[in-house]
Amino acid sequence: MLCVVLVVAGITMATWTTGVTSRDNVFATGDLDLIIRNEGSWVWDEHVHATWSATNMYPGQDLGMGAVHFINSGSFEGQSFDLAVSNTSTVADMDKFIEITHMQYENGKGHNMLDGHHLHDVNLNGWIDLDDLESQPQLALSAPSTTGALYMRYRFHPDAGNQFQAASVTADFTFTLHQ
Amino acid sequence: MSKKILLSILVIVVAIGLVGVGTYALWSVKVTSEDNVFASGDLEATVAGGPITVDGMYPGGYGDYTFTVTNAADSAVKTSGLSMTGLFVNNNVPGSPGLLSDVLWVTSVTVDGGANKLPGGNKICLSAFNGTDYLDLGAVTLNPGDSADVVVTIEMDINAEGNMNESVTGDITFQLAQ
Repeated sequence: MLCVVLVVAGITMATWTTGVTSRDNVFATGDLDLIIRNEGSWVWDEHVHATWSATNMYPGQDLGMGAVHFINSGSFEGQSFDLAVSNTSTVADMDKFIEITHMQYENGKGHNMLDGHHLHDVNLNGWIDLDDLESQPQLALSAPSTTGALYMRYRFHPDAGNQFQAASVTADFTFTLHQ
Repeated sequence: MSKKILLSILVIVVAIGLVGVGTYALWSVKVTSEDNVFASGDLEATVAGGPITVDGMYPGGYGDYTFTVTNAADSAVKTSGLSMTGLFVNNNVPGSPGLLSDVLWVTSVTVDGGANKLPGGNKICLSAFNGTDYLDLGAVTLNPGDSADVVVTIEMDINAEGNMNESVTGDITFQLAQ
């Protein structure tokens, strides 16, 4: 019995081990961090308001140019960029009479969104408008390299009838940057 | 179940899992430009001078009636056109041979003292107005808050033979256009 115990103890004591540690191996994610500002403002945020707005519009009125600017301040570049619009009209179809007369997406290279390859006259009223933009979100545009912008000029179409007096359209523009 | 079948199921499950991983690995970030409001104004008008009441008309008698049409101060736009129409109802005496509105002639319509706006200067009887078709009074520019005086001259036909103690009532509508 004693012999057995001694043998077991001997085996245990004879097996040496040693350990080393590679510490603090950190696997940290980067991020996409898109922020925007209105033209003429220096405040960058995730939300801006009233980039494009007009009061007291009348048929045929040119409502000028407005723009939002983007910065991807994250740690890696985005690969694609989406633009989507949601409209709410107090009188049905009023968004069809907010005509987009110029739309330019800048991401290091200029993209004319009215070049016939991006926005189309889906509602077949003869011009490109907010309703067309709502029904065809602009998906998978090339992402802003670091900075970018969207410029839009618009007018209240001359054919807007009396039913659109004292009415309004509210549009929300959503911009999505993808990895 | 054979090993091959089990292996196939395992491969499919792994493949589905990889697709799922691929989908969820894509990151995105959203920003919004909200509350872009496109609000229209309106065009409002008022008219002063009516209703007119003419008593004691007689064949050959006439009168000038002035209506002041105003582009309301809070209208969104100036106007570039003015037109008018009317719709009248005869209050006939039973047995009367004709309608009073057939013998009441609009002989002149002027705006702010200008030329007669009747086409060719030709007079029109009140019954010719149907409440729908408008008489063009020309390019009248009124900024919001501005007014124009429209003078309508009405004459009873000198050859009218009946229509004693009758009357015509109705509405005269003016339309301002952007």
